[in-house]
Amino acid sequence: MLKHITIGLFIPYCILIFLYVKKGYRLETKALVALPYVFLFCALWSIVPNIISFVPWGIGSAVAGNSFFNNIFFFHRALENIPTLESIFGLGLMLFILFSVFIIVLRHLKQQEREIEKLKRLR
Amino acid sequence: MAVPVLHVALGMSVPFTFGMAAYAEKKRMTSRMLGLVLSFMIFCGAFAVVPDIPRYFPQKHSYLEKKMNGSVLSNIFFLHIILDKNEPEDEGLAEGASIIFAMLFIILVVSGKSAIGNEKEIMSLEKEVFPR
Repeated sequence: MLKHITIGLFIPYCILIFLYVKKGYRLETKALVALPYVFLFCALWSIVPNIISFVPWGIGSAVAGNSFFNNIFFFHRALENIPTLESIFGLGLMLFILFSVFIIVLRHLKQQEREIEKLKRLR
Repeated sequence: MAVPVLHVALGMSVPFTFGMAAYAEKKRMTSRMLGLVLSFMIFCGAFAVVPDIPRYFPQKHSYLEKKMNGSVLSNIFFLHIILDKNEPEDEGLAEGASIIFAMLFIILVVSGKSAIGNEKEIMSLEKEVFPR
């Protein structure tokens, strides 16, 4: 399950990095506010087949077994068949993604604080 | 015996709690506070798995492994022994990962809120400094 969550996080992370580089290493506050919710949504979206499989009377497992249905959720079925993506690797990648996002957030907050200081001096 | 991730999660939860308490008091997450909380989270997460390190080198450090995992003193490492006794064999990866994810998610939300506060302050200061 962890590897699915990691892949779910990896897609918005790539978009974030692309936007961050494209905008000259600056992040908009709106993007920063939306970021955790996008991460949460994508993480939950990637494990929908796992959640559905808990539905009783075989309905859940029948729906979750559908390959087309699975591919909407960040290639859930395809990822399940890759043995190299072990859980601990998933966790490592997840931590890397989250901590590198924090570096961007930290830089953004620092830039804002510097701007506040500058404006306070000018006042 | 719990998986290392659960120990890491427990270790990280201590600086996280302090960070959130500081945020509740100040109502703002400064960059310094965020840096401190994250650094301590990494440090405490690593500190919590110290008794598990000799396990990865069983031929060289079997004595050390036995001593560290048998002693009550190893509870200094964020209740390592208590957690190992109470958690079934090799379980807790999903729980630990969810706890870590939840903590980092909350910090991201809090940082976003602080960034909005900062932006509002910048706008009001700009109005004062550069009146139109």
